[in-house]
Amino acid sequence: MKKFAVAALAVASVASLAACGNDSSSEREDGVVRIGLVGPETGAAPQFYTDLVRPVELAVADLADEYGLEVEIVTVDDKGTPDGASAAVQQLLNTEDVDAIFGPPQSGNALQVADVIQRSGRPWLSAALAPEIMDESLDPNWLFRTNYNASDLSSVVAQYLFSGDSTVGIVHSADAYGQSGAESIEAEAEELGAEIAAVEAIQPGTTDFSAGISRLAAAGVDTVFLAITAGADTATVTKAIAQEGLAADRVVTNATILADFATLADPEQWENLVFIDPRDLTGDTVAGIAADYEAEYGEAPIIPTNVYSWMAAVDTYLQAVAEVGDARDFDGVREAMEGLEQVSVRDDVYEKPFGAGDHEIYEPEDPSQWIVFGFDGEGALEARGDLASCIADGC
Amino acid sequence: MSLVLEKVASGYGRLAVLHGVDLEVPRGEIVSVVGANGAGKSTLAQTISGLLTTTAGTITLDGTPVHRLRPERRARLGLVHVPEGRRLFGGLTVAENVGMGRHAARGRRGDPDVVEHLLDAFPRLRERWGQRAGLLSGGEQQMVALARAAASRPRYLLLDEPSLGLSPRLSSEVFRLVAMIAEETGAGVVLVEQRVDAALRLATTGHVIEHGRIVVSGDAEELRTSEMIRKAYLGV
Amino acid sequence: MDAVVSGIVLAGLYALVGQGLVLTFVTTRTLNFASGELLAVGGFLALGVGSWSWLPTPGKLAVVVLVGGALGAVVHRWLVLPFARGEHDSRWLLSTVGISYVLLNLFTNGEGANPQRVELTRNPGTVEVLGVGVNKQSLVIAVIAVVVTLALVAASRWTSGGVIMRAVAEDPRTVALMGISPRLVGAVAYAAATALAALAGVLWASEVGATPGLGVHVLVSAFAVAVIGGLTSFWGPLVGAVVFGVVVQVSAYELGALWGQVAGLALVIVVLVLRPEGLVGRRMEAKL
Repeated sequence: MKKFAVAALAVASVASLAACGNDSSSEREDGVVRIGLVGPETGAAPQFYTDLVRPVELAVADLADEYGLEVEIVTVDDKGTPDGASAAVQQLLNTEDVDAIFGPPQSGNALQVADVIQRSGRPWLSAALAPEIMDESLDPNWLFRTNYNASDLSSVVAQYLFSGDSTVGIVHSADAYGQSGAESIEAEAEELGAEIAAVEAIQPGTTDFSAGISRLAAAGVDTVFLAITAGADTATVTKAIAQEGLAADRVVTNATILADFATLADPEQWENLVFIDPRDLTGDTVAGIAADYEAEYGEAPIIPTNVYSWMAAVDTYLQAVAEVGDARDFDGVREAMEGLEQVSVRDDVYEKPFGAGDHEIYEPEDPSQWIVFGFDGEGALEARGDLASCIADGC
Repeated sequence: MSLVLEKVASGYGRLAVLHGVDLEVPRGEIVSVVGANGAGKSTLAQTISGLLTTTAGTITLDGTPVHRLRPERRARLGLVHVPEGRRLFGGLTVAENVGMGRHAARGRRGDPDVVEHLLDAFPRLRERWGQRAGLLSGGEQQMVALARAAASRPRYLLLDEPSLGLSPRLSSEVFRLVAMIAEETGAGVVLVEQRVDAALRLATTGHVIEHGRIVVSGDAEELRTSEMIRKAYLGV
Repeated sequence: MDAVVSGIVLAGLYALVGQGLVLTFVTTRTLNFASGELLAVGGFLALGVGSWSWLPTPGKLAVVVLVGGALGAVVHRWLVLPFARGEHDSRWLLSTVGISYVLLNLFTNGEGANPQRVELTRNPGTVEVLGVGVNKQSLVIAVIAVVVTLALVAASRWTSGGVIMRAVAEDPRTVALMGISPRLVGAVAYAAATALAALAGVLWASEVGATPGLGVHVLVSAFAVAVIGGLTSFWGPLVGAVVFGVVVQVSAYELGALWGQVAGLALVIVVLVLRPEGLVGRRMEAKL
């Protein structure tokens, strides 16, 4: 037993020495653009790290030459915790002296480091969803978000949920993510003067949710909103919907189900399942990215939506650096990002995405910008139409 | 062919109880170890069977050193211990208890099995065969303990206070059966007892233990009749 | 009626894992707090052997169960025996909790937290039982739990191994005097318990996918059912699971889904106060 402990210690200290070795490069070479990536390499959700680093690598490989830049990528592990994120960002700023920070991908950790990055005065690109990360009143504001924010999505989802003569029920995870998702829909409902018939919570990891669904059925629910953290729990809920024979016309969730739901559930369970996303997930661009990603890394993207958002972030940042000509001119780069004529993810183009007071790439006001997605009989993703037409004509 | 202890010491944790005990038990012979309460009699039995660790000295069984073996290994070699208080498995039937004893005899099928004779000599056990041992009377339980030990086909039998809690009549019944087992199996017997008179009557050799040391050894009959020893060591 | 039927079906998984807890508690007075992660091991093993197309499904299951059993023996030898050196030594509690965290982290780092689909022993869909739609896989697990329980009860009554186990439960020191190694009995019990956990892991992962956290929630409920039923009887987990499952489901139907779990755990506390040996357990001093 003692020997084992000694061996484990030895391994651990070698590992940490190796990590130190990486840290201690520090002379800044002129002209090289140094991007710092921070994400949960270890911890409960390493897929957020994987699908931060890989899309950035892919996009940099595509774009660096195009913009005539030499780009270096530095990665640090935030361990999936706020403390880890603080330490990781400190390391990026102080030891690595990076020119811009991408991440952390998880909202709680992003929130933790928001102040530090803001004070550092470096461009910060984020795909985290929490609306609180973005403080639009800051001037200058260093944060640019290349994903939607959760409250915008809620308002879009609410437009869809409460359209027509629907009776809405909510199922949410009994955790922070699920609760805030449910609360924001409840708030939107209040604003719209609509009513929610029933709210049920699911404990993460629960093995059976038939009771919750039968309560929704008893309340006459025909439209269900799911704010669920893990794909496995989504599967448990949809399984219960099938089992209890709940006649739901629409089961609305969000794009996080792409991460693992489709590999778990059976086709009959996704029939009525839809989610709303601003990205054209069934378009050629996403398919092309997936093909290149798979060719490079031997598997399909884990979180395709994040892959897309980080690629948008790379284009936003590198374009601006190219325009200014010096990544060390942080102010110039930030202003250049605000003034970009367009940001592209391959063939998808976003015209004038940002402005002096607008650092969000997507806007909730225009329903035609958002797309309703569902699954076909084989479980493949299909676009049902844009939100405006779905609300007007059904889809 | 004998069980030999040389300078054996042991105890409980840091508390040393036995201080260099020498003892020889030839096969086929009954050796009694007598002494007052707390003299170290049970400690001796538990050390021989391996329930307590031998901290110094050696124990050999027919020439094989056994003092470093776990109790189950010693039992498999034929060193069978009937502990103080019998320690039957109360939730098991009489049959199952005796069956447990048979495990120690695995690999020694050639050794004599006297369980049937014992049951003939004490037929009440047959009537109780399917009953839970915990429900039996004290005397019956002691007989089950003896039957269980017999099922292990002992080469050496350690008996720790077999008469404890029994009436004089039942005690003499137990001693009679012990003598029978010893004779029919040819096992060497270590009989640890507080009933000095009965124990020494049964044995060929006697040892008096005091404060963890053997203080007097000799012919059992001589010890039994020696007024001096009875007064000095045994308080009777 | 819905709640009762689905409660009983739901209980199977917990009973299966709870049975393993009873096995180790009876023989060694210890519990393996890493059972949940070993259940996840079963799920990942199923993923691994799933690609061996030359081996038929029963063979694959056997591999998973055997590897699980071997792991159980390893846990016993290195993490329980050295830390359970007597009645007052409860360090095994820390060592098994410790290894459960180590395994959880290893799996999360090695496999990621996302569920991975397991095809072995997959039974999708629902069936009607007494007019109530129940999940097929849960029903399969419940049937297996009943079969395992009956097998264990029969074995403990009528096989010599079962007699030894009951004897060890009463008095391991004296069992050693019968030429039987209580350590070996403990190792066998741990192997059997872990094999059951691995089996439960395969069956459950086939339903919800293999994840590092697969067993965390299951183990909590398995503890609950073992305590409710009693840790000293093989009937305990089954009886406890049915009571637990029905209470959880009835409260979930009546009060809301989240209350089901709360009611189940509250029931554990009630049982601990009123009948600490469990509904069908025998009274004995448990030194935990």
